[in-house]
Amino acid sequence: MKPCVLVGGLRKCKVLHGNVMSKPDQEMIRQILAGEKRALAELIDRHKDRAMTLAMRMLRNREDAEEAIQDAFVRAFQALPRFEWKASFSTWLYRIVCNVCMTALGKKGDLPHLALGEDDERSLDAPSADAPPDVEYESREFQSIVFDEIEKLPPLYATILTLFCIQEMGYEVIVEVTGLPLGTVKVRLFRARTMLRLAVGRRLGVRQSAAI
Amino acid sequence: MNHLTTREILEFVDGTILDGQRTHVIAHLEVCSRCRSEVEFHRTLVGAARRQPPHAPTRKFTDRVMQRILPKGQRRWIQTIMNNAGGVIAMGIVLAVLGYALLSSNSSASTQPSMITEMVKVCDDLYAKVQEFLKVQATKLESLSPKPRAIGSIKLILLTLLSLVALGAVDRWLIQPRIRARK
Repeated sequence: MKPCVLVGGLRKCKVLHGNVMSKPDQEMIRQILAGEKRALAELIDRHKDRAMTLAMRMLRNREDAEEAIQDAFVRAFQALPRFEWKASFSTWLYRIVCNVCMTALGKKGDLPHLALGEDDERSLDAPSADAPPDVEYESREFQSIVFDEIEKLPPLYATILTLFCIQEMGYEVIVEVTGLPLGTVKVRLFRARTMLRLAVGRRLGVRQSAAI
Repeated sequence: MNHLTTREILEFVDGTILDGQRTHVIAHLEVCSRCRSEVEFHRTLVGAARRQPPHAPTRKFTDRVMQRILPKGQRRWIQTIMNNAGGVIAMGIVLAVLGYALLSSNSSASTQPSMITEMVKVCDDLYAKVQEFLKVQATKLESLSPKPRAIGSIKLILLTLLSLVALGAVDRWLIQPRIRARK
């Protein structure tokens, strides 16, 4: 999906493959509440991939992720008549996805938690890492390395990074979705990006030295 | 030379850095190639992460969610048919067999066709000859093998109904629970 743009307070998404501006979520929800099943299917189709990506990053298992987003969609649509538009529909939906995934992790005993020291912001004030290797950033290989390394990040960081990069959410929206304090979101996001940068740099460095 | 911190680089990349710090970062980047390439690397990483393909759920995901959301009465009739596909196919086969049996019994009872034109007469003659030949062959075969017992139409209907009930039961208590468990 291409980036969403805010138009008059409503979220309009440009659909990949074809530059058709689809209906905003708000209008579709009105149609759903009026009993239009097609709008319901369309809204699910619009958000299912992003919800699945988020759930996959948190749960690391395809079946569990799909079950979780199924539950999340059902909960969201059952509560739809009570939705108050304090946030956008997608923010609200991803928050439900997060909650369902956290519950699933809790049931498995895998609930991610951090030691207090790990959220310490001071670690970010250290000098940056070694100079990055000289690589072709647009190459498919680079893309694939980045993808691999995001998948390998601990769920806690991968989730925040997914919300920031793939869902293109700002800090405030991530705070709404995850329910974490702003400072924690910032630190975890910076840490996730640093971890990704180090992992990708390491992979590229190894590749370069092998080539030499 | 003191290089930029991770926080400074990331905030600069995101455009969330405060104005006072921005001036300092820009001044540093003008003279430090290492930090410049670091900024570039982080920008590229975010760009690459944003271009990652999303994970897609399985093909029937939307249908399954809709099935759970919509009350039973509102489900599409096609979905109901698809859910009971086994029963529907079996019922179709049974009805086809029954229809074939009834139609063939009617055609055997029909009389010789009466036609006007000569061509049709020729055809009629041929048809009659073929029929006669077949009758003779059938009589010969009947004399060789014991005559099978004919099933009455009431028995046929009863058997059909029984098979339908059995198929319905198999669908309801064996197939449907497995489908639900798989979902």
